[in-house]
Amino acid sequence: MSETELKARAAAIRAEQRAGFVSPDIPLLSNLSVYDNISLVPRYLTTEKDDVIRAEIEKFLALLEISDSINKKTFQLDSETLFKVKLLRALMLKDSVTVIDRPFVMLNTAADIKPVVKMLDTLELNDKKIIFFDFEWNKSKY
Amino acid sequence: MRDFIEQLGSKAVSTFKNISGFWAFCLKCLREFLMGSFFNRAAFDILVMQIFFTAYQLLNFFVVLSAVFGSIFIGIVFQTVKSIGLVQYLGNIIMGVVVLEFSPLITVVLLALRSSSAVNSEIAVMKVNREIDALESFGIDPVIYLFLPRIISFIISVTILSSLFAIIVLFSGFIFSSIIFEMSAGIFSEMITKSISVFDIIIFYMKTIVFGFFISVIPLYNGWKTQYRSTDIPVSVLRGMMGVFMSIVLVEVVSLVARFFLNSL
Repeated sequence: MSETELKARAAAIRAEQRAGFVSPDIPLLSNLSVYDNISLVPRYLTTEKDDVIRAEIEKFLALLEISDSINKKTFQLDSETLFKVKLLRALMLKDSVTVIDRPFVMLNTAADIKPVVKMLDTLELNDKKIIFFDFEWNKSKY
Repeated sequence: MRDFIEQLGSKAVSTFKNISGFWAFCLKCLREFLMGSFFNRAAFDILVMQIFFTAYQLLNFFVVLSAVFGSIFIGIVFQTVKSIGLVQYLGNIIMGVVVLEFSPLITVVLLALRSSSAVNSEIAVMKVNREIDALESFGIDPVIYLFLPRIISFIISVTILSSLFAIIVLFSGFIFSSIIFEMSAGIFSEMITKSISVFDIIIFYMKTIVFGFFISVIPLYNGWKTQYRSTDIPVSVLRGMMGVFMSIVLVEVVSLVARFFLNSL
């Protein structure tokens, strides 16, 4: 586990909250589809009904304009879609902080943070706490 | 001399760590099993999928293999029995050797070659790609989500397929006995029921359960213990498959000794 993840985990523990990571060091599961990757967390950790989970994921995928990727495996995705899927997986961890670790490593074509902010705005995450983990040393891009 | 003793000591310590680590892993899996953790719906999906891959996908091939291999074996056994005049022991030979020993052994070897190696490499690749770390970072226990469903599916698959093999072999036995010895169905079934005890059936199913457990837990443990290097994947599979082979031999020997003692009571 990288130093940044350890710090993020420590920060989340201090805040007595769990952290949903979006990190280049935390991959998606390669033998699962996009839907299975995103639904894994709520299906494992919660008792929410399958059709409720599916409806929520389909809504998020539509908002991020990647509905056509729902049944694709991770090797079929480009870097932007991979990032979006990782983000949705992290957001599925309810009552948690979402930690976006080094977004510019994952979105290597992005010149600044605007595309990520646009994604977050699109998803209308009203009270969700998001931490960008390279904010301190990448301030020029924020 | 000192170097030699140091090497020996270091080897002994690492072997002890490996063995204790393996048994701790087995105990953790057993504890989760007893707690019914596999009823978690995400884990249950994996269980169903793994039974599909391990038993159902193999079914056509397995039935053909059992019919061909079982018939050939039964045919040879019957001819030999007839030529040396041991027809009165035919039932004991069919049940004792062909059904109770041969069926689970062939089944477990086939599943070990096909599925244990696949599971070992799958888990090793997941470890190297840090996918297991990813699960843990989201609070998903890999023992519950990845390992336990595979262990249960292997136990179910070995038990079902061994029973199927035994049924097919018995059916072949009936056909051959009617051809070679002109035996009726009634006499054949009476001969079979006389030559089997409750202990035999218990040991047969105990053996399939233990086989299923070891041919899954050993590759899973070796896959999980893979270092974060892709060059370690073949080493992990090699270790896993050697462990599977050793466990099959060990279980076979222990079951033979157990059967001998129980039947002599």
